[in-house]
Amino acid sequence: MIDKSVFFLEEADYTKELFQIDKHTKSVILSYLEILYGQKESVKYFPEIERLIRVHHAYKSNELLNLEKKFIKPQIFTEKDAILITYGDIIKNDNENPLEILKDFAFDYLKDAFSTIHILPFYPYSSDKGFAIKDFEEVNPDLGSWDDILSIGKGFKLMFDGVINHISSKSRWFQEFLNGTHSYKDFFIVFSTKDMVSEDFLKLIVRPRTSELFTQFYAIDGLKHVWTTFSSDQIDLNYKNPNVLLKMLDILLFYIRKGADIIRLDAVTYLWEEIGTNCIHLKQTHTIVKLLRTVIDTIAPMVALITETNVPHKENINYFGNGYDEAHMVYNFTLPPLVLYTILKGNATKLTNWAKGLRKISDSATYFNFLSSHDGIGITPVENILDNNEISFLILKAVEHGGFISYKKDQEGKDKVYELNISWYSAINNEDADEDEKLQTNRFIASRAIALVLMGVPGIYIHSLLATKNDAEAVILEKQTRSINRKIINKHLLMDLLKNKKNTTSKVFKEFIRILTIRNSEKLFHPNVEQNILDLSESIFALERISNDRSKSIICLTNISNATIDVDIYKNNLSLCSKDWSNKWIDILSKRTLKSQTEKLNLKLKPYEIIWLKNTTCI
Amino acid sequence: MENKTESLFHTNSIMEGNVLVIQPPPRLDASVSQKLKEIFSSGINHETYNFIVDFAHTDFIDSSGLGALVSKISVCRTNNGDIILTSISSQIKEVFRITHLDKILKCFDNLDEAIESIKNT
Repeated sequence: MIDKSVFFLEEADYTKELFQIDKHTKSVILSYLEILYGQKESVKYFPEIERLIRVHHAYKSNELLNLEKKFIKPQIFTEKDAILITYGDIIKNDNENPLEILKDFAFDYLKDAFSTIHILPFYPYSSDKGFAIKDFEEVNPDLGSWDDILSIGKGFKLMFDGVINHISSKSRWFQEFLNGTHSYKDFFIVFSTKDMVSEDFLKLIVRPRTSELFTQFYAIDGLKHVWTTFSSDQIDLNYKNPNVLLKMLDILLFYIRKGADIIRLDAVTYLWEEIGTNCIHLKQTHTIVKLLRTVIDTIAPMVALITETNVPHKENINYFGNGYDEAHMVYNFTLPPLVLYTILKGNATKLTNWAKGLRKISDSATYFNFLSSHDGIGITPVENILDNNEISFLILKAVEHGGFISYKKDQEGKDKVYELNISWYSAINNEDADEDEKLQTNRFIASRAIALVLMGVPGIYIHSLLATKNDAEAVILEKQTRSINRKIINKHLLMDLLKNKKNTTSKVFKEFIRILTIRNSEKLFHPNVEQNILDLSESIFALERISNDRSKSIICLTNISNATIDVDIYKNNLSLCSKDWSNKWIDILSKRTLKSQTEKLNLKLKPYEIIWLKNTTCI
Repeated sequence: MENKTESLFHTNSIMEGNVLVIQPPPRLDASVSQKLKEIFSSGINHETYNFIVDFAHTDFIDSSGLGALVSKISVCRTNNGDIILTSISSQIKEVFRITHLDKILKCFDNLDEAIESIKNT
C-alpha cells in the first residue's frame, strides 16, 4: 500500500510551474459551463475553475505526480477492489475515538479482504445520520480528526461522501442566508410565497419523501419558503448560482487532498431544479457530473466519482454518460431488491434475465455491486422488472421478517413504497422459521455471492459483514425506520463475538472474508472482464467471466434454492475456447476437483451452495 | 367459542371459525410476543387466515410486539385473509405511525367495524 500521507504538501507550492489546462479540456469545461449558465457566464466563470485546478496542482507532491504519470486508467478498479461501507462511529467504546477504533478494526480484520473503506459522512451534522452537514470541511469531533481519516488511508483507499445536493439548516451558509449576507443570497431555492409554484407544477416534481417540499423559515427580510427535497433540515443548494458549483468543486478537491480516492455524489439525481419539469436527471444535473469528471480527470486522474441515484436501472446507468465522461461507478440499485426477490422466491429467472442485459460500460467505468447499505432496499429500481404482485410479495415478506417500509409521494400525491428498511440478514432469513442456523447462514452467503461474481466492484455494508439482525427497538426510539440497520456496536462485544467461533456473526464474518480473499486473487474478477450469463436452471444463478482472449474463464454458480439441484453445463454454452476444455475442473472455493465428460459437465449443488469453477487449463 | 390462551391473551373464534379475534394483554412486549406468534401459527394450522387483534385492553407495544403482529402477514394475505386491528390507543397509534405499519395494517375504531370489513371482503 502506498503511503498517501506524502501525496499532498501542507501548503501550496507556487514556486513550481502553474498547471496549464490543455485546449481540448478548456473547451469541454467551457461547453459545460455554457449549458449551465450561458455563453457569457461561461467565459466569466472559467478562470475560477482554472484557479481551483492550479491550486490543487500546487499542493501535489512530486511523489504523487510521478505516480500519476505511471497510472493506467483501466486499472482504476481491479479484482483487488472491495469496498466496506460503514459509519465512522459504528463501533464504539467509552472514552475512545471512534475513528481510531475503526482503524484498528480495519487493520486487524479487513486487510486481506477489502481495498477501500467508505466512511459515511463524518462531518459535523444536524440530522439524517450525517447527511445534513453543517460544515463540509471539518471532521465531526465526536468521531475524531482529519489525522484519523488519513491514518485509515494509510492502509486502505478511502471513499468520502460529497453531499452536494443539500446542506443543514443549521449550517453557517444557511444561517448567513437568513441573516441576509449578500454572498449567500442565491445559495438556496427560495420563494416568497408558496403560490409562486402552481399545484400542477408541484405534482410533476419527483421526490423520495412524503414530507413537504417547501419549508418555512423567517429570514431578516421576512418569511421564506425554501426548497427541501429530503427534509425540513436539509436545504437544497441552488446550482443555478455558479458560485455554488464553484464552492462545491473547491470542497471536492479539498476532499481529495484529505485522502479521498473515491467521491460518492450523494442524491445527485435532484441536483438541478427547473419548475415545470420533474426535477430529476435533468440535463443540467448530468452536465454538472460531467464537469466534475472533467476536472477530476484533469487534475486528479487516480480519483473516481460514484453516483448515488436510487432510480430505475435505465435512468441509473445514464450516469455513466458515454462511459468516459460521467461517473466512474454507479450504484447497481437494481441488484438488492432483485437478489432479495430471487432468494425469497427460490427462483433465479428474473435475475438471470435482467443480468443478461448488463453490459460492460468502458475500461474505466463499472458497476458498484452492493446489496445493502445504511439506507433501505430501494423498490423503484425494480418497478419495470417485477410486476405489482411480485413487488407486494417482497414488501409483505420484508414486513413478516420484521422490517419496515418507507414511502414517497407519487405524482397523484399518494403514498408509494420507496424502500424496505431491514437488515440484509433479516431480509434473507425469517427468524421464526424452523430451520438450522447453518441453512440460514448458507442462504445469506449465497445471496451475497451473487454480488461478488457480477461484473463490477463489490460493496459490503458492515452490518452485512457481521450478519446483524434488525434493530427494531432503535426505530421506535429514534423515530426513523432506517435506524433498523444502523446499530452501534460495542467494541468489546464485537471482539468477543468474532473470537467465539460458535455464533452467527463470527461464522458469517469468517466465511465472507475467506470468499473475498479468494475473489481478490482471481484476475477473472477484474471489473473489465466480460461476463456471460448462463441460463442453467431456475434454481441456479450462474455466469461465466471470460478473459478478452477467450483463453481463460471462471464459471460461478449459486444455488438460490433450499433443494439439491442437478445441473448440466454444456460445452457449447460456454465462451471458453473449446479446444482449451480439459476434463478436470477445480472449485476455487472448496478446492475440490471435478471431472467432466467430453461435451458436458454435470454438477450437483447442495442447498445454497456456491461453486466457482475453473478448468485446469485456466489455472 | 371463547377460549383463554393463557391468562394473558383472550381469543375468540367467530364467523364459523373463519376469523380469530385476539385480545392481547395490557403490555404487548417481549415477554408475551412469542405467545402471540404461536396463536397466529396455531390459527393458520387450522386454516384460519383472518385475524382481528383487538387492542381494547392494550396500551403499550414494543418492537417485539410489532414483530409478532406481522409475523404471519404474508401467509394470511396469500390465503385471502388478513390481520386487522381495532381499538388502538394513542401510544400504539404513534408507534404504528413511526414505523409506517399504519399503511400496511388496516385499523378500525371498534370490533364491529373490523368484523363488518371482513364480511364485506
